[in-house]
Amino acid sequence: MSEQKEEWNIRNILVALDASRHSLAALEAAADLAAGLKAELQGLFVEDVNLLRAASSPIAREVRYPFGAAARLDRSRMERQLRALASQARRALAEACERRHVKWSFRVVRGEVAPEVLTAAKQADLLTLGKAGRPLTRRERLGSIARAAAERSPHPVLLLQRDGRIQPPVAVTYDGSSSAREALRLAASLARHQGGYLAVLVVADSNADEYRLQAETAAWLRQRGLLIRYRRLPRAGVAALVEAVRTVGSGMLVLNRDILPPDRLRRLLDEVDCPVLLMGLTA
Amino acid sequence: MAIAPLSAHQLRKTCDPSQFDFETTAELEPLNDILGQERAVKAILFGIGIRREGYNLFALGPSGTGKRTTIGQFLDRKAAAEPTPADWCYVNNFDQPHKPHALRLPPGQGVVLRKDMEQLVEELRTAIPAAFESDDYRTRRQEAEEEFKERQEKAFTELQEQAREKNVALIRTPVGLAFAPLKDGEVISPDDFQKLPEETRKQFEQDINELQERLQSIIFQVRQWEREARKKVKELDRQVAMFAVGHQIDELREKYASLPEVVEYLDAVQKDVIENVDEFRKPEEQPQVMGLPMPRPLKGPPLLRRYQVNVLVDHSETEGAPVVYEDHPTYNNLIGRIEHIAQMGALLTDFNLIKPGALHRANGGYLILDARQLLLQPYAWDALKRALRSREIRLESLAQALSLVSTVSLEPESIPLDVKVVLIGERLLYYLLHLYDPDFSELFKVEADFNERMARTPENNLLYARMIGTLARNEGLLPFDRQAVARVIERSARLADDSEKLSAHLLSVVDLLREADYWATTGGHKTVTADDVQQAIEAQIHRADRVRGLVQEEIRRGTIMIDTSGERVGQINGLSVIALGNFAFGQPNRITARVRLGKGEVVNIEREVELSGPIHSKGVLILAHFLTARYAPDYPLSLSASLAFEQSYGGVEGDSASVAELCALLSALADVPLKQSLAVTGSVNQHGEVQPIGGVNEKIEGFFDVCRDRGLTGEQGVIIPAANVVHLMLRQDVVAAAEAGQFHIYPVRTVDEAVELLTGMPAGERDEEGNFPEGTLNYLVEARLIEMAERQRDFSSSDSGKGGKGEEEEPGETEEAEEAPTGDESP
Repeated sequence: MSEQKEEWNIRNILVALDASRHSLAALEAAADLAAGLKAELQGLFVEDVNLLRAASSPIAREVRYPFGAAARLDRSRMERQLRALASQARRALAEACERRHVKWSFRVVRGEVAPEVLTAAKQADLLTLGKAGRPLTRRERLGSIARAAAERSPHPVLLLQRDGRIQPPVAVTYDGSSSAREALRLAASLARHQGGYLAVLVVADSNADEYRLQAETAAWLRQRGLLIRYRRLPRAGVAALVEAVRTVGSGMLVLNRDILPPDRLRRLLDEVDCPVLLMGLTA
Repeated sequence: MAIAPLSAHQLRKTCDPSQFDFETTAELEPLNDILGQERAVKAILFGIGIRREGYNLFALGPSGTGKRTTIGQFLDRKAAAEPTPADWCYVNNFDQPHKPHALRLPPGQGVVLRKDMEQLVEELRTAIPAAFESDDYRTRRQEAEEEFKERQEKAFTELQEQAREKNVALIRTPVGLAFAPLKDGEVISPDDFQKLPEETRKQFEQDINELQERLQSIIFQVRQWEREARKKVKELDRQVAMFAVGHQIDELREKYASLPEVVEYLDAVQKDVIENVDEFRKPEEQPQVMGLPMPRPLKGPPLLRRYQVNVLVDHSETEGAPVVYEDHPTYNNLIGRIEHIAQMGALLTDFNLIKPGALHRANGGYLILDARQLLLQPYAWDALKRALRSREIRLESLAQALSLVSTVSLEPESIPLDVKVVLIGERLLYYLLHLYDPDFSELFKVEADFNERMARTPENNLLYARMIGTLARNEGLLPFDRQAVARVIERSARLADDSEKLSAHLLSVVDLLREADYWATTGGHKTVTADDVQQAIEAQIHRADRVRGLVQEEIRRGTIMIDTSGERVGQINGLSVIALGNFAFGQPNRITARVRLGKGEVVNIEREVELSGPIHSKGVLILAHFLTARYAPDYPLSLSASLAFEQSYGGVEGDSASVAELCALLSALADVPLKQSLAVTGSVNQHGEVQPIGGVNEKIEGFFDVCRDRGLTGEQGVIIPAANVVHLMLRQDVVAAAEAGQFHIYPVRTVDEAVELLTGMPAGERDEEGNFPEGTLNYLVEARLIEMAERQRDFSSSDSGKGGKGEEEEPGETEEAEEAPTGDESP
């Protein structure tokens, strides 16, 4: 690992807000993380252009929760509602950051949500999102934005659980690939801020491989004064990973995206019940 | 016909030690029976034998007669052979927690059930969470949840599909869901929409309306499905709980199969556990608000207490039926109590805080209570009666019953009562209760009346000796030799105030034995001797006779004026008894009588100043009427006589001085002096017969002590009613003086016998012509009365004209002339 220089440096974190309870929980976690990493927090609220369009349509109808009352949509009312949500999100962000002395900024953009978030994410070192937005069907654990980000974001994406909590230890998969090395670097820097040990899930199908991969990482990690615990995974499968995360009691899983094909990755995100940090797409 | 003094053996019926054929009481068989209480014993045997409603006992008699000991002995013996009664427990009533259930269990089973239930809860606390953590449960629960989600998913997916087919988007708004027409995958802008052909716009509108209706029905359905899913999960929870609980409880059910009440209770427990299974799944903790512990919600006791068994009565160690003596019979100590725990300023309670009373403990057996204590405790007597009448113990807090507090309290199920109550108390209490409480005679039908005396027969003497031996053994005293036993028996007779009776007052006998043992031990004796007993008696008297000493001293010094020699007219020595604490002593009193012409009245000076008790007044009235009836019956009684107890500053009560008063009056009338060397006691009836009095021994000894103090002359003595001779148990020194002829006790039957002794003059009886012979006392008395009557008549006739202020120079009388004559009686 001698060619690996520094730990991953995160200077700004983008947090996508929609003022839902869930996204506010994610905000708290992101603020904690920003405070730990001394990074800036950038809040983003997207006014969904589809909503506005629908609201101006003369025939659009709205069915309200929770009793199913039907009403006509009205553009000006929709705009008011969106503005209210935005300012709610801003207040929450300001409060969360000022409490922790974290630098922050807040932006409202109008457009389609997923592309806007992804565009904004390009300027940030890390994008944090609630794993689920407001799913129509509860079965879709992964919200549409989260899914888009998980699949398409060029930068690391942190998908938070419903309660938004992040706690040690950090677990990371490692199979010796270069993206895995990047993941390890990021995991190492997170682990130092989070405290606790770093669980390295070594993907190796033989003892020799396992030994080699352990040796590759051990020296570099020790230099950084980290406590390490190794665990071998025979191969990177969804079930095996979920099981491993459960046994090491991991508080956060750092994953290089190419360790699993996209459909299996989505399943993993569905099933793992701790926050997951996905490394960006490598070129 | 002079009365002869009593011989020495009549003054004290001694107990001959030679009638005993033992050396010391150590040789004697122990005496297990109670001596001298045949009547009471029969009553007790009957009372505890008969098992009928209302046949409770009242043991009455003076304290110290061994009531409690006797009853205790009989009850212990009877109870030992009877079956041990059931245990009683209070358990939670899961339907109505404020009305705990009472469970009846075979003796000793209460504690077993309590342990079983503790263990059950302990096991459930691990078994239930384990069952809910099992993969089986998790999978099944997931299945149920999944099913719901799938249905929901399917409905929404279908809706989405339909929408897409119609080119309509289903989008979220901040408050709900909305449908909007799509074009190229994007929501159509209003301008573009307007550009669409009208038909298409109509179509969209129709589609959207349809979709919206569908969405509404889906939302409605989803809510229903959710309810169904929740119900399913709950049902699953029930099944799992049932599985976890049922097995454990089945074991208990089998164990207690013969006790349907317990099985019923276990069923209720099972139902409750299943209903409250969540409580077992999370660790039990005190609810808190801002770090302060808060009281639990009041819906029944908290989990761990709820399944406990409160063993109220535990007979696991009892053999036979219980015999309970409650020495502090308060309401709560009898009926039991419901305690409360203060929590955050509120008083809480549950069935675990029910505490038993004496009735619970004695249920199925016997309860001994002190009647006075019971009556002294507020509401205790009523509570006992209520329980006996209703034959059940209903636990009701007194404060609640009186509406003094209104905290949350319990109404425990009543427990059937089967107990025999024995009350112990004085006779007065028994008779008062009989008189004033109509329930009493219904509830306490058996009276066991304890005697304070028993006959002094040779057989009883021997039994008494055995009793002394038994008491000595039980008390750990030295054995008594037979002389000592004889001395104790004599003392017992004196305590009974009767030479033919023995005292059944065990307490004083035991005290005497203990004290004699003390003196024997102090003297280094191996056995208790007669001297030790004598010393004990004298020491007892000495400790108590300070006042007697004072009186004797004042008599000796002449402060209290008593003559013991010479003769005086109208003056006599009466005898009174003063009782102080346990000790009584006799004291001579000077009684004087004065007479003069008057209207025929005998003035009782004590009565005039309200120092005379009713019986004393009665005695004086009787003697006055004896006088009028006997002497000069054909003349009006024309004297005015006065009678006084000299130097008496307290009240006078009793008629035992009436013979003395009569003698003094006769002496004054006849102007014949009385011997002051004699003292007189006895009461008189209207025929002049002398009747017995109480305290004869003390009275004789009181006069004897005064005489001995001044030196016995051989003339001195005491006149007593002949009927009192059987009561004589005089001190040995008095007997010795009598034997030596220095002191005499004269028994008399009539007043005439008494005055003959006092005057040395014959009393005289009427001859054939109805006259008393001359030279007799009665002659003198009658002559004087006739003379007075005639003078009275003279006054009346001479006085019709002028107010006769005739100088009343009564020659026979002495200082009477000082007073103004009664001449003013004429108008």
